[in-house]
Amino acid sequence: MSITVYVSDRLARRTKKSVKITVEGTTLRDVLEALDRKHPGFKNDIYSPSKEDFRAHITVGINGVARRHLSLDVPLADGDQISFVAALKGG
Amino acid sequence: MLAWWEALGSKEQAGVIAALFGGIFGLVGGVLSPLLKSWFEERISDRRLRHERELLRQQKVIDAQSLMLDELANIFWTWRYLAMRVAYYGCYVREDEYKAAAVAYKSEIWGVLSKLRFSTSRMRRLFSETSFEQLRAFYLEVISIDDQINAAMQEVDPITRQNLFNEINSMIFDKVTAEIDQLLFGFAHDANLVSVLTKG
Repeated sequence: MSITVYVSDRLARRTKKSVKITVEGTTLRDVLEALDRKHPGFKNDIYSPSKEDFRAHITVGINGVARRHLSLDVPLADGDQISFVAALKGG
Repeated sequence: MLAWWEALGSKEQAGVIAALFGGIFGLVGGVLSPLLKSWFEERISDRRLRHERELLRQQKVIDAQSLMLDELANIFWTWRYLAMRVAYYGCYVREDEYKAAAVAYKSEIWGVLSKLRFSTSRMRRLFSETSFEQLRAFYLEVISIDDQINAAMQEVDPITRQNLFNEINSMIFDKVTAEIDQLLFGFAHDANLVSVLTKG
């Protein structure tokens, strides 16, 4: 199943400035693994294996809906759109 | 003795009794009464002095608690902005700002940590054991964040370093900032230094 991933500018440093990437997968875990194969280090940038959760500054969106504390086993459908946005806060 | 007494007439007995009572009243009124009065006054004066001393002592404790809360707030926010600055600029590619923030962090963090730990010890004698435990737990959290900042500083891959700082930035901005506010309010509440308006 084809999944379209959008990454914010800050995360695109790892993806060689690509902000739209297409990968194959049926779960969020598949998507992360596929992204990490294409751009080594990407999974670690956004996901903490020790906390088993996305890193605090990462917001994950599935088909435009922001989600928190997502399981990597979330099933995905063909054509789903995933976004990873890194927030930077000042002050 | 009995014979002498019996030998006296009833009028004379009455006179002796009256004289005895007169003597007793005289003794009570003239000697014992001033003594008792003086004793009571001394006790009241002692009690008032002890009360005033206790009030003075309590006022000193309240002043010390209030001063400590201000100092603690200053330490918390000094640390928070020191860490936030390095984490914020660590997310950017602009190396100059990051380097300046990292130098400031490295040179100042030991001073801030020692002040925080000193305050933790002082917390135990001025506030409750619960407040002391809360501050000690927060101190350990600050140490943990310091470890994370140092790990991010030592990261050689610039992208990984920026992402690590991004995570620290987000954690300090949201979670830690709220914790600081909550801790300070909790300590003030513990010492009864919260305005009645906020207790409602």
